[in-house]
Amino acid sequence: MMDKVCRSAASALGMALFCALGAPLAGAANDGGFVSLTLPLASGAEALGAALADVDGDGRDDLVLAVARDGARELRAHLGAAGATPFAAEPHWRLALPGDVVAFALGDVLVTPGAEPVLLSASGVFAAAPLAPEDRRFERLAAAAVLWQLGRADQLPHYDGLLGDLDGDGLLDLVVPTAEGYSAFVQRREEDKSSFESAGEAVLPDAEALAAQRGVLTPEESQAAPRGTLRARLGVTTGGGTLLSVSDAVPAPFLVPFAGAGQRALVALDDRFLHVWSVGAGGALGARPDHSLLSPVQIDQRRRLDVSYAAVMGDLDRDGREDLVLVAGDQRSSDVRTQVLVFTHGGAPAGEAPLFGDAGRPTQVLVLAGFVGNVRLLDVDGDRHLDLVATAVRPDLLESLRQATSDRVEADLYVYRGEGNGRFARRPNLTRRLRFAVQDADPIVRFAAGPGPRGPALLVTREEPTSVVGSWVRVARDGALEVLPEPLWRMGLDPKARVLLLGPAGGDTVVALESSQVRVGRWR
Amino acid sequence: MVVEPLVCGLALVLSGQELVRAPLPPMAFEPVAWRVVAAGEGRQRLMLVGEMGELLLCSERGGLAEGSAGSSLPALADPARTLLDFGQLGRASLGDGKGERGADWLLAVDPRGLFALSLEPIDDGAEPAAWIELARRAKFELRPGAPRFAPFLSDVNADGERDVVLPGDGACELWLAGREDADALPTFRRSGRVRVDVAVTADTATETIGDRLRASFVIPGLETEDLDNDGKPDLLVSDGSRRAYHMQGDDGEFPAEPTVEVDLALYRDPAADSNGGIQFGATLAADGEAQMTRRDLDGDGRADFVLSHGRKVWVFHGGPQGPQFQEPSAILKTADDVTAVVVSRLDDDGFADLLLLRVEVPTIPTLLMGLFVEWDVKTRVSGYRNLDGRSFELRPSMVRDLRLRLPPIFGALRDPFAIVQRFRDAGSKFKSSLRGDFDGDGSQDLLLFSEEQDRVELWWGRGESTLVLDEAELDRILREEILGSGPDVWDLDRLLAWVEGFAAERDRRLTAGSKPDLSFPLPAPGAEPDSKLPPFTVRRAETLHPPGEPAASLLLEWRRPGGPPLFERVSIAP
Repeated sequence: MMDKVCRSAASALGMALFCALGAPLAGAANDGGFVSLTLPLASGAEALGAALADVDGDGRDDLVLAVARDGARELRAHLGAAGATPFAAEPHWRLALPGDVVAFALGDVLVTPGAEPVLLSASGVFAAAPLAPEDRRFERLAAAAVLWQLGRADQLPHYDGLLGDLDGDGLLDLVVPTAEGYSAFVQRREEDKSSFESAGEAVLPDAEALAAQRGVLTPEESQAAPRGTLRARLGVTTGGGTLLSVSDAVPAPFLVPFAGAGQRALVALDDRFLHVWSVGAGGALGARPDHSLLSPVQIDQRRRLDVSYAAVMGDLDRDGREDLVLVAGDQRSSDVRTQVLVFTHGGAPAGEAPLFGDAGRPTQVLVLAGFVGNVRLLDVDGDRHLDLVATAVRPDLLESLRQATSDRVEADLYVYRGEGNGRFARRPNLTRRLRFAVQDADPIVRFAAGPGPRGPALLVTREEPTSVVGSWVRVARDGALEVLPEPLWRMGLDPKARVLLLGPAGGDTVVALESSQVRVGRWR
Repeated sequence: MVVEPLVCGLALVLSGQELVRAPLPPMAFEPVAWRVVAAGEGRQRLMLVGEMGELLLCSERGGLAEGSAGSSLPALADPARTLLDFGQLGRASLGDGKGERGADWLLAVDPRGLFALSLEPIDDGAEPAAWIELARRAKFELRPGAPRFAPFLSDVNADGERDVVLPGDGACELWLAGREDADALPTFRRSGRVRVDVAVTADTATETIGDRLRASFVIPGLETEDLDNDGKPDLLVSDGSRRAYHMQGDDGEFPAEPTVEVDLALYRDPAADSNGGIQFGATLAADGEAQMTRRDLDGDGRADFVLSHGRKVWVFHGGPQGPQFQEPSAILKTADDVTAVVVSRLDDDGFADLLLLRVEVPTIPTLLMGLFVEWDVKTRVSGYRNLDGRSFELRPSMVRDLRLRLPPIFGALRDPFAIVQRFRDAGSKFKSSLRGDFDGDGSQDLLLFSEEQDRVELWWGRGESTLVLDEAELDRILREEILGSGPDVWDLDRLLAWVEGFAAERDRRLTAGSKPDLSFPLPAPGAEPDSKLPPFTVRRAETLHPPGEPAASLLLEWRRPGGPPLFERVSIAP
């Protein structure tokens, strides 16, 4: 308790010293624990993205920016710093990228200290050693038919699902998405060399065929469909027509403990099933999933358009097994409302299918009014139990009339505290009304890492296009959560800036990508 | 990639009201694509392609399918990286004088090069045809995942020889066909690499397990048009804001360097917002760049160009040498910002006129109220008449304010599928059609599927009727139906009613308003006993006129979720 009081006093002092709007155009600022930095971009350059990783092996996160200019792309690393600036202003290294790079990640895949850029192209995965001589700068790690074949000169997506520890040896391995599923490669390391060996191909089953085989087709497929799929051709062609069109999609894979603590599995949720591939000895993945569990919420044509649909995983009861929360609009209700369905391993009846059981009955159902988005599972109150976070927009005519005079859209942020037993509080412990200005700027409402090593999270919001605000969350004695009225920090930014939250535990670094500069702020 | 199960084909003969079925032997692979290919002498065959590169040319004898399913062809070497096309490799103008052609060739291109395979039927016991290398350096390096048909064989320069256009990363490679000997296969030489605007999507979000990793790209074909009215198509290239025109020479070649180039970024109205995009309550402007429209404005058969940005419109007339962007024929300054320019005939003087569209982005209060009530997107259409082919009115002689009335946003979000379904229902009013000589009298007949696709109707001898949305038809639709004397408000009901009316008009024109000469039900193939699979629906239909048969047949591919496809051939006798 006293610890909390001291932290509160420190933050109050920090707030008193706070500089309200943004950092100077070329420099850093340190405002009561929040440090910021502005990195100018050369004329014609555009910041495409950013990521954090310890690139020099000193134990401190560094900032890696993806930048495009004149049709070429490069990565730049700014080393983490202590004191008045979060990162060094000058890049530690710059890496020009070949034109066929489609995405990148950061991870320790070579024997040199620190994380390296890991580059994806259509034909495989490469590591880059930015400080090595040009003839030794790129090294192929693995050959694979990568899902993404073509890149764009004005894009460089960061794919952070590429690297994970499959075999539990502390080294990062590769899980490469392909059009058919996922190709796994485990890292082996000797004194002076690292290499990657194939650990198998996890192949996604044909969901439709599997559903038909099990007799669980959706209602629209099961009825006597009167209309087929013939399409009339009207003979209108513009331009050169389409010569080739290719489109592939696979569910995002996750490496999680599924069957028990230490028993990792690769899981992927498609439109119908949760597929589970158990990781074998040495990180081996079999082609066929060990389980294809019928999802209680099927994605049919109608559900595909459900703006409230979401699926999140987390260990809700701390039994070492990842649980699942499905969020979906209630299509049978005359009111606009959304259901939150909680499924835990511990809640599934013994002897039945894991997680969902045989009947797909949730262990808990919450109902929220309105359309819901931004669903997350994270520890907001610092009690080590995952809490449920969601933002809802309620259709309310009177509210709409009022909002029309203020040019703002209102939404409600809810936090349901996790009880540690696989259930959430029945009513929200935090309800906060947010008012977003209606402009061409991405609104943000996210819980990020709190200022201290433990304790409540920080609420980061962008209700105004011109600033991002970090506010402290306090836990009252009765378990209610409240957001302190005075923000802990505020960072000004360009209204059209794209804002990223980076770092562990929801993030401790905010990066604003603007047209002529990049603004960075950290609060831990 | 979807792995599709085995094919089990059936053939039906409809004689009067009687259906007779005779199953074809099951095929040994799972087809991922099929085409009806020319078999020579005006006849056709069915060709099937398997995911592992298997090729089967189906053969039918007599009225009932019998004997073997067909001829296996040499498999594809690299099925995951192969594009297929088919066509005549003889000169397009050649034939046997009767308008009939020989058998098609199958072309395949993969990382090893361009190859061709003859689809002439072989006698039993004869050596199967072998792949012939046409151009080792004409390579296809992308990965569709399974063999895919793509229209890469086309006569780009209209010299009577079919050329090859190969899609690649950000560009298409043009290989022009030549011929050393009239009886020999064509040779291909690389003419150049043409940049094209490839639409690429890469989704890498992995925040939640509900996320999808997506990868897609769309590569357009080469755009050609006879810009200078010399009878030869010219090449149009679009690369970002740059437009380039390669005028075809007398030798049939396109120059490597553009004959004419223009950078749209140079054409700006200083008073306009340079960023474009969406500003509430202001005019919608696309990307902040100038827009270009192309059409013959003065009736000389040559392409003319209209550029617009902000409130300025530039008109450039093409000449005998092709496009030119040095001397504008007219520069218009409009009273309002322009969202888009449409070139269309407003009157009957033979000259295309200018329609300037200004779409107003709703204000924020309008959008917020639009959450619950209907809301309007206003569009002003201003028509500037083309006076003499070279100049335009300085003030619009026609101004029309239209409103697109949209449903409440919350209502749409609550059940967006209901809106999608309404559009699908309207779309289903366009009946699928096929043409073929179904009665063997030598004339083309018209076949229409019902909306429910459970019935087929035939009109003898009406196979030549078509409805092509050419420039004149589009002009008429714009002038009479959208800008006509009707109400200014277009809501969803009116829009869908117009679509359905257009579909009905299409049917009326195709059939001359007459009743069908023949109509019969098309029941789905029966389900196996105890099958849990849902009923079949028609996935695709084509006309097939097999060798040795007097009349064409209807070839149907039936599909159902989770089950193998089923092929049927329906022969119709009046």
